[in-house]
Amino acid sequence: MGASSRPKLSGLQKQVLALYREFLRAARAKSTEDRKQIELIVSEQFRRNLTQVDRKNFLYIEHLLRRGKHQLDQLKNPATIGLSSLNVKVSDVKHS
Amino acid sequence: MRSLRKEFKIYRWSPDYPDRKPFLQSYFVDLSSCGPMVLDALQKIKAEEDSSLSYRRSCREGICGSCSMNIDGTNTVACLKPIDTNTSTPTYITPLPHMFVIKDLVVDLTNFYNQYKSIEPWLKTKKAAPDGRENRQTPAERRKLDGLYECILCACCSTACPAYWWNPEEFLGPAALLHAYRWIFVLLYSRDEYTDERLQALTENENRLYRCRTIQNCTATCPKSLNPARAINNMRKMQKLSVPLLPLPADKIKVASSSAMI
Repeated sequence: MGASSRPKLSGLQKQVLALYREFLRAARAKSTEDRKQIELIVSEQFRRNLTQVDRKNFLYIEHLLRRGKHQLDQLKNPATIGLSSLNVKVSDVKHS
Repeated sequence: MRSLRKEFKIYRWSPDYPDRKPFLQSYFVDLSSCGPMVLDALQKIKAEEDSSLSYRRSCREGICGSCSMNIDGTNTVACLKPIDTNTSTPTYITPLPHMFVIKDLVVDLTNFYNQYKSIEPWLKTKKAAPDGRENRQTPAERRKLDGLYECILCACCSTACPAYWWNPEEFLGPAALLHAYRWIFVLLYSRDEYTDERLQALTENENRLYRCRTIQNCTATCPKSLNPARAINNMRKMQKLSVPLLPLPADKIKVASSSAMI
């Protein structure tokens, strides 16, 4: 067995990764184009939080985990067919 | 008109500013132009001073159970709690203890509601109604429900229970157990026929009911003056009486402690 380059993951990191896996598995149950859209949005959100959220801010990470679990339960419901997201830029609004 | 300025220190935390730790923010309210209950003060603060203050509220008369929070150390519903008019000390308003906070005074109650769902709070019968129409109930049988049906599921009792703090996933909590008792005991003699199954479902895992240590915080804090502790004690009594006594081998006979019930 060679030396593994993977660092040991903390419990919280394992939970985040498990949630990410669950999202991708739930996306598999949807149709192909919806599945791509879901995977895109989910991975974009996780990657954004990875860089923006401080590693030691446990309060906020746990809050995001709980919110993610709620959203996952909604996604798993067979009635939901997909995700979509809206990007609103506040800075460019011009008042006449 | 004399102006009475009362200080309210309210717990604030927002997921939109995750780097700010939770803190107590002070608000000053003129009590002479405010309603008598804490919920009125919260509405006034949200309307006039800080509209970002978040809390749940609905009926404003103590029947929906939405506005439950911890006021001056006691769990109650804000719409039934009069403001303490002593202006020299502030009133502390914090969310229900040992619950995950979603924002400010709003907490995550999904576990609480799932536990209520798990006791199956509906009528279950094995045979049809006697004359094919409804299951009848005499007034005396209906009176047995008093003190049990008024529960508004505000979560004040469960979040006041230390046993629930340390084991929220396993222990059902006083509110769910009160409802379990309502569906077991009262309908024992009238309409529900699944009493034995319900009791067994509660007690086969020793964590669902028996984590109760008779701390009695639940009865002390209930805003509707209900008595979950009595319901839990009665269920324990029922369970102990329903289990047949087996003969113990001579070397294992100890003095059995019987839980004395009222």
